[in-house]
Amino acid sequence: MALDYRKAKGIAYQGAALAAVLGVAWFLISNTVANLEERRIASGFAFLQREAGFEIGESFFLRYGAADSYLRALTVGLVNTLAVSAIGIVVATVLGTLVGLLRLTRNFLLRTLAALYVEFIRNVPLLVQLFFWYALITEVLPHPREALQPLPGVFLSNRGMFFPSFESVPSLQGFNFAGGIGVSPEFATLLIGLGTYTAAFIAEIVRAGILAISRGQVEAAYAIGLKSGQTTRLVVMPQALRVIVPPLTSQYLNLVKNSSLAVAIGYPDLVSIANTTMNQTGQAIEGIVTIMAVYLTISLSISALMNWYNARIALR
Amino acid sequence: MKWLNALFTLVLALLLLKLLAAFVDWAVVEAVWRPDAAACRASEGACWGFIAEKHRFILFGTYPFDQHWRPGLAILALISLWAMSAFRTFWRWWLALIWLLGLLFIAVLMWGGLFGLPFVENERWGGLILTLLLTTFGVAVAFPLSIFLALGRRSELPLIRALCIGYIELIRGVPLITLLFMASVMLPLFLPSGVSIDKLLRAQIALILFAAAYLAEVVRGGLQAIPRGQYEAARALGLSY
Repeated sequence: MALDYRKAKGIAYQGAALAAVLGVAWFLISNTVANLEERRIASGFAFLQREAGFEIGESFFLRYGAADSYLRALTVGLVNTLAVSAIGIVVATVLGTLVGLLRLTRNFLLRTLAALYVEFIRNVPLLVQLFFWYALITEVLPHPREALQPLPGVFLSNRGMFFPSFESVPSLQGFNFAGGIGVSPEFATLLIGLGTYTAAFIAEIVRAGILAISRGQVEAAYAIGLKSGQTTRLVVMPQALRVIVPPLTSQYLNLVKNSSLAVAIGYPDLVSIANTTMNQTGQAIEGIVTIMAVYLTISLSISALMNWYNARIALR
Repeated sequence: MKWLNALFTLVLALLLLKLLAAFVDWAVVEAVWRPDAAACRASEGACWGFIAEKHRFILFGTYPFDQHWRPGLAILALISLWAMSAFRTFWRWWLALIWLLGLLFIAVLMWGGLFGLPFVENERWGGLILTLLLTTFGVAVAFPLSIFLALGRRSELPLIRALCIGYIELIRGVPLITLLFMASVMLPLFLPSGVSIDKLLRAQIALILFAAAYLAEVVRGGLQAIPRGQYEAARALGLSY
């Protein structure tokens, strides 16, 4: 019978696929075991307890010294990645929404500027942009002695940018500033680079979402007396959000993954520290598995959060 | 509100002109065009002479200096192949033949060893030709792979579906740099000892796997947009999968 034949074919294909996958997996694993034995590299995560022996340039909340374990070093890297990703997402969303709205304004100059921004930033590779910002910050900004001071208490130098915090104000001590909130050049580069890059994509997503709302809605809102700002806030944005949120999730995930480019500018994020660890211990597989597991967890968490938000704003 | 708009535009235009003037000052007026290191250090403007000095390195990498005409010619050949493939009039069966001959030509040019050209190993390739080759082969191999992945993801066979979903979600969930690390560091461990894969090939494989996963989602979006009626009509006509 035709149905049985189809089923039999399906089972045959799947059997072949399974055999192929298992065959390749057996080949890879047996080779790996043999190679690891040959190079006398131990498997397993026992190396995490060993002393790291390298310094990390900056760590967000945790204290770290060269005598701490590899596990602590990787944790510092993870916190650094999460920090730059979280702040980057906020910056990118705010800037992206602004530029997206600007592309729809009636003012010709603003509209053109926003379009130029989006087209330029989207078409230049992110790595090149990061190198550009890093070069700008480290070579154009002056020494701490002659730091720029755009606002009282805010200092910009090529050793970092310093802002006053609630407790203290930065002041020049010797070769660098102390007190206040200090942002290293690498962190600033990553934040500005990731923020502006992802903002360009988010701008297009926001613009698409707003354009997806039919003009009739806006005209009806004007007809019942709502002003332009009220219309945007009460009528357009709630509906536009339904179109915006799924691709926005994609962009947030891209931002988190792009933060791994920090290794190219010397920011000690997870990939950078895991790379150092892999070079020092030779535990390549455990290192790669750790990186992939962490990024998968972060990606799935952000996806889950955004899907929950998506369900909340969906049409009832 | 109109006058506020106009005032704002004027202020913005003035600011832009100031910025543009400063940029033109840096890029053109104060710039140093000759490859003269002392002049570059002395001036406040751009040092375009650096491009005059380093353009060969930027374009060709560590390829032997006197053989630079070979990657140069290869770049022209590859770009012509792309340009030719962009026009409908050339979309005939013999375009495949031209591509094959063109790639063979580029291979002989870059590697050498034949026709009196000295051999240049691909560890020394670099610059623009490397970018173009990685892109060309990356897209060419990743696209058919992505179609298979997309079809597999929509398959009714549970194992194929699971494998394709697992692959796509795994590759899309990790940064590209991780895949490149994996290819360059883990690949030697996966192969029998003594067998080693060329470094360029490792990077190419990583890029292909990465691109295939992302393109698969694009293809899947396209497949999903087709109304079910089309599939059912095809079945009714007796067309196989």
